[in-house]
Amino acid sequence: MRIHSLRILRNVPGSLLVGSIVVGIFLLLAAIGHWLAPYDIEQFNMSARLSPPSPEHWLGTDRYGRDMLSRLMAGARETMVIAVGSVALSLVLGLVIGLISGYRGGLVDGALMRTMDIVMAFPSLLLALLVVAVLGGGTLNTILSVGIVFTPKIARVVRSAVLSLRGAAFIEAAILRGESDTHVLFREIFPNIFPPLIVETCIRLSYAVLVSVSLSYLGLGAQPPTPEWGLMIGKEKSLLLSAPWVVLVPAIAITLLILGINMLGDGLREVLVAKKSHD
Amino acid sequence: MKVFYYLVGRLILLLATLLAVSIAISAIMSLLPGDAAEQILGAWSERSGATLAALRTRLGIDQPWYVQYADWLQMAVRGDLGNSLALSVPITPILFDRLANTLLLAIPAALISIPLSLGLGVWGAVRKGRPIDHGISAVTLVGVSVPAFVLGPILIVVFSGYLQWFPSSSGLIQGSGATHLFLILALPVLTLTTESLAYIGRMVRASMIETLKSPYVRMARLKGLPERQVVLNHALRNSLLPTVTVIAFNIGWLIGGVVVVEQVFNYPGIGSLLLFAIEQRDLPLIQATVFVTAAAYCTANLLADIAYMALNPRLRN
Repeated sequence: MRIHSLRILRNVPGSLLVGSIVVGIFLLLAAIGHWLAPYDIEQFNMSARLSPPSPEHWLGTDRYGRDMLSRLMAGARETMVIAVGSVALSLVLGLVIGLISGYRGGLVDGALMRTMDIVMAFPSLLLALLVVAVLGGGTLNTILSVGIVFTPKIARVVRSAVLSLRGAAFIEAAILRGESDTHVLFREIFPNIFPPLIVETCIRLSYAVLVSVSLSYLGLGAQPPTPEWGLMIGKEKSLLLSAPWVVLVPAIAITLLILGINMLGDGLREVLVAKKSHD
Repeated sequence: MKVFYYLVGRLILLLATLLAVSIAISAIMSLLPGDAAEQILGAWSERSGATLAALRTRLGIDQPWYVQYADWLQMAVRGDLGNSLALSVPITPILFDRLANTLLLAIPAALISIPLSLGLGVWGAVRKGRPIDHGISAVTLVGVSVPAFVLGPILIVVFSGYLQWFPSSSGLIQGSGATHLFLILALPVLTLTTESLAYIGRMVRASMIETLKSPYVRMARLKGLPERQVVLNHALRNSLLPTVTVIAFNIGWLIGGVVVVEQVFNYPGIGSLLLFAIEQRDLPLIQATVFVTAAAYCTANLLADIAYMALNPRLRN
C-alpha cells in the first residue's frame, strides 16, 4: 500500500506537490490561525511600537505595537475568505449561465453571451472598483464585486465545454430516454466538463487573490481594523523606508499565497488537460 | 474588399460595445445611494429640502437615470464629459491630461516588455527542460505571482532607500527636464514592465512549445532545415497568434496594474484620478474616467484582433 502511494507521488508534477502544500498551509492558517496567534491582534502596546523582529515579536510590531505575526495569522482567514468566496460565487453564476447558454443555444445563448461580453469589456480591476465604489467596501461587497467580474470567464469555459459535448452519443441517448433537462445538464454534462473547470477555477483563484487584495490595498475592499493583508500594506505604506517589516511581512505572505496557487494551477493543468493532448 | 468589410464590421461592433458599456456604467451608478446634489450641499442637504430640490433640477438629476444617460450621451459625443463636482471644472481637459501621463508610463512598459517577453518565451521553449528553461520558468512564475503593490515597494526600498538612485514618489511631472522625467518614470515603468514581461513570457513559452510539437515543424526539421530557421520562420509566426490575444488581454491587466502602480508611486495618472473621484464620490468624474478607460481597453482589443488577422493568412481571405 505504501509503495503504491509513493509510486503515485512520483508521477505527480513537482509544481502540483509544492503548490498544494503551500496552499494547504495557507488554508490551515485561515482555519486555525486565530487560535495559534501568540498575541491578541487588537492589543495596543505603545511601549513596543514599531519594534523590529525580535525573540518576543518574531515579525516585529506595527505602529500601535500590535504583533505582526499574530495579525498575519489572523489575517489569513480574511484574505482567504474573500478570495475563495468570490471564486465560489463566480463559479456558481458562471456554471449556471454557461450550462444554460451552451445547452439551450439560440436566443437565450445570444442574450446571455452578449451580457457577458459587456462585463468583459471592462478591465477586471476597473469593474471591481466601480462595483465596490457603488456598494461600499467591506468583506461581503468585495466578494460580490470580484465574483461578478470573474463570472464571464467561467461561463465561457463551461459553455464551450458544453458545446463540445452537444451531439455526443451519450447525451443524445439520455435525451431520447426522456431524461429531464436538469438531469441531462447536471448528471450527464456536468461531470464531463470537470477537468477544464478545475483548471479554470485555479487560475481564477490566483486572480481573485490578486484583485481582492489590490482592492483592499487601494482602501476600497476590506475595511480596518480587519487584518487583511492588502489593507495592512496599503495603510502602512508610508512606513516602508523607516520600518520595512510592517509592509514586507504581509507582502511576502501575499506573494507566497499567489505563487502557491499558480504552481497548483500549473500542476493541475499538466495532469488534467495537457496530458491528453501530449501524444 | 473583404478586409474592408471586416474592418467596418469590427468598428461598428466597437461602437455598439462602447454604447453598451456606457449604459452599463450609468445603470450601475444610478444604484449609488445619495446623489450629486447631496454631495455638493453636504451637511446642508438635511436642513434645506427646497435648496436640494432646486439644485437637483439645475443639475438635471431629478430625472430618471435613462433620461440623464441620454443627456450625458448627447454631451459625450460632442466631447463634453460634464463638470467635476469636487474640482468644479470641466472633466475632459483633466481627463486627457491624466491619460497622457498614464500613457507615458504604459507605452514604455509595453515597448520594453513585449519584445523581451517574446525573446524569453521563445528561448525557454526552444531549450525546454534545460537549466535555462527552468530558470526562465521560475523567474516568470515568481513575476506573475508578485502583485504590483509588492514589487513597487521592494523596488523603492532597494533603489530609493538603499541605493538612492531614484525618488520614491513621482508627484509632479510638469515643467521638468528629460533627466528628471526619466528619474521619476524609472521605478513605475520598471514595475509595470516586470509584471507584464512575466505574464506574456509565460504565455509565449507555452504556445511556442505547443507549436514546436506540430507536424509541420517536424516536416520542416525532416527537410533538413537548420533549427534556427525552423524556429524563426515556421514556428514563431504561428505561436505569435495566441500571443497577440494574450497581449490584448494583458492590456486590460496592465490598466488594473496602472491604477495600483500609480497609487504606489503617487503618480498623477488616470488611475489615481479614478481613485480620487471614488473617494470624493464625484459621480460625473467616476463615470467619465471609467468610460474612457474601458473605451481604451476595447480599442486595444480591436487593434489586437486586426493584428491577429494580419498575422493569420487563413483569416485574411
